[in-house]
Amino acid sequence: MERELWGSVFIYWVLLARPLWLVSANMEGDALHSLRTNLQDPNNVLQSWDPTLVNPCTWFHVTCNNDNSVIRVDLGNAVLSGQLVPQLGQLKNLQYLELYSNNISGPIPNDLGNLTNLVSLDLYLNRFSGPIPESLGKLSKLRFLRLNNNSLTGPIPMPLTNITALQVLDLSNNQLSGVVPDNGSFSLFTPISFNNNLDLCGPVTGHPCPGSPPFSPPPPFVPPSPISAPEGNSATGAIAGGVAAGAALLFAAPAIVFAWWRRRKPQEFFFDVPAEEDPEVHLGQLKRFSLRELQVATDTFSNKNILGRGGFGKVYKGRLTDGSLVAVKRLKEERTPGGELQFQTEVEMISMAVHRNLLRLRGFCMTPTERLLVYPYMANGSVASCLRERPAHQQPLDWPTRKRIALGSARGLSYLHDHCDPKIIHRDVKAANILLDEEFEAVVGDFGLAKLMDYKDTHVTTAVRGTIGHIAPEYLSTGKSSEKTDVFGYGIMLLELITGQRAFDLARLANDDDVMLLDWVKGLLKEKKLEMLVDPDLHSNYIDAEVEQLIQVALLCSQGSPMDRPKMSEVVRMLEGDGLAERWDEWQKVEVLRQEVELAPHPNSDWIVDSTENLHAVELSGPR
Amino acid sequence: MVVPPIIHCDISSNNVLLDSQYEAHVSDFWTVKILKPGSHTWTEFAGTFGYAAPELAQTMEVTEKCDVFSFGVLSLEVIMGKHPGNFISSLLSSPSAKIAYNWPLIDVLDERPPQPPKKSIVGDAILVASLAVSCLSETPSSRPTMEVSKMLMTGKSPLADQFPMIRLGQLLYH
Repeated sequence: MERELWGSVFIYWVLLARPLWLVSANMEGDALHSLRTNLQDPNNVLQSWDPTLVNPCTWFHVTCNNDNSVIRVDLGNAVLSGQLVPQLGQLKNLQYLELYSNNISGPIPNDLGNLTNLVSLDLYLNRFSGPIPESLGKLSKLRFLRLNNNSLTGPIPMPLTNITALQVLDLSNNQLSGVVPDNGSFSLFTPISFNNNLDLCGPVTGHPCPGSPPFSPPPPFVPPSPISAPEGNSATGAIAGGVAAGAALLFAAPAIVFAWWRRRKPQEFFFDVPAEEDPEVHLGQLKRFSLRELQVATDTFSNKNILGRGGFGKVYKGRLTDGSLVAVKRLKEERTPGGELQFQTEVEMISMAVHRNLLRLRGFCMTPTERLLVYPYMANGSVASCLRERPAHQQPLDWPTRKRIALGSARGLSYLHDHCDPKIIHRDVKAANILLDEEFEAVVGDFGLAKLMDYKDTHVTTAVRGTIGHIAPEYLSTGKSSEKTDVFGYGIMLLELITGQRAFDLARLANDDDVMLLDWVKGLLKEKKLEMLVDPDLHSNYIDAEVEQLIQVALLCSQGSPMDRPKMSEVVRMLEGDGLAERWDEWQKVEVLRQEVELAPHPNSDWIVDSTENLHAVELSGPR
Repeated sequence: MVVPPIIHCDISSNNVLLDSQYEAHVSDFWTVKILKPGSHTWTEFAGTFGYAAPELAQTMEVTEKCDVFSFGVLSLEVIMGKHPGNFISSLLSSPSAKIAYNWPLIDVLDERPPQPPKKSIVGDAILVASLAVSCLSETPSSRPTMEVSKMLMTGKSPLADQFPMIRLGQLLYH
């Protein structure tokens, strides 16, 4: 009797739990559907958002975790207009809310403050109005807050200073007024984050607040106060002219002030004044470190702190005096020609590339004999180390994580190619250069360094750049790189991500079958032998259709002809579920034609006598 | 005693030295490493960008045809007076885009030597260009061996009379 009763209770509990799970999944779908009904969508970007489905995880531009809970909404550049809905606050596991570059208007809902797992809130380049909600101060995991280029009014909420995780803040180009906080997390931010608002004041703006005593003389590199907007009925032309002039002045002023300050600063000789602490210098978000500080951080570049060696130099793990972990890249001495100003200019260029999928340069160090770069420490190492040098206690990367890495690294590279001015070509895209943060988000590292090392684009060079298996064919034979050489490297990296093996070893496997690597992959895909390609560490825990799609992207990216490869921005769209099938079908047709051409007798075959085909050749190689 | 075949792997204009009689000598053997069959020690590209065969992008098998490709780049560089990167780019494009095949040979040659060239020099230039274009074939098996190249260099070209009208693509059918 008692046993029977216990069984009934258990069954009842199971029945109760399941509906709750369904209700939870539907609730998130309902919340997103409310958003859809409140937005105008001329390009039908939200067409797949079907509320009759069991959950929103198959909708385009929506990403879920393994529990079918929404973690990402990616609707940047989607030509959406209308207003947000408070129901967005019900997406409890949401990490990335990306709505930038649309025409969304109205207020930012207070309920966004309930998204306590939010990492990135990107609402920039829209038409939001009203105040910044104070409730955003509850987002304790927020790292990226970009609300720039809207029409937000009122004060900057003081609770935002409580977000200790905040790394990137941009409130510029709004109508904000009042005091800019300089405590808590805001102590890290510079005038760049607050430029071009209505009436902000405080030390960071260089503009004293009314009623407060004048503060001590401003540091020399602080620019003058931002231009306040003209009142009411000023002519549009005058406003435009004023804004343009103000913008030009704002860009020029920090450089002028910094140049003046640098000229005043005595020549730096490290060994003459070992005890002197360098003053902290910030170029935008960039910090100039003293050599002594980095020596202390890395235990004088101890071998036990080496994280890796690359073509550009060694990388050391370090801990700064504020306790934060960093990776210090010590550039090879013989590869750093050019003066301090040139190095600094290029470092500044690299630091302008700010994106959640790019490794953020924190600072640099320059002495007559040393050039060092300081990056945040990436807790989970690189894709290469996770796939092949995993410690026993660490789980292998699961399939959803690998998919997310593929998408994140594509986004980072697309940003380098399409949003950086001048564009940055990475030149060494491979699994070892795709780093993983504590949440296993992909972070592309080592970009921009080729230029920093003063390799001339226009000259053929004997320097070793790139790793065998990842170098595009046209780069090998012409010495010229372009964004398409990065696409090739990305394609090979995808194959590594799927198989878990190095490109080198994959090529050996293909060679055993007497075919080239990519032809080998094509053949296995055609014959549906996915199990021969997929990493055994996945233990068949993957979705066949998704693996096929990723292999298709890899093959499209690693075509022999640069012109035939997609752009990285197109790769991002394919990985987000748009356009891959069409591209693949088109490529299949071209491939059929190509094979027919290759089967035709070659005009050179008559007079070529290949007498060494069966001889065993001794391979010789070595750098010049 | 039979000497095993040796693959240089880094033929470039930097590694061909000239003596006082302008005789060419292949150099840079002293930095070579002998790799054992099946070893995994060679994961860094050690050639020269701009001279390496494109199939090295996806194969670990280094054959003598890699050196033949590099020799093709070098030969074209000698008669052009500069690195032939644009020409190679065109060759590696899709079949419909191999526009370099339509380039007149006269436009490709280095314009710095005194003009007009003698007929014998034209013949030699045609031979070198023909050889270079064949060595640069994207398919390794379509490239000639170095032995065939050597024989071709001692021949004569019947196309010399048509020099002003010759296009690079015609040289493939020589």
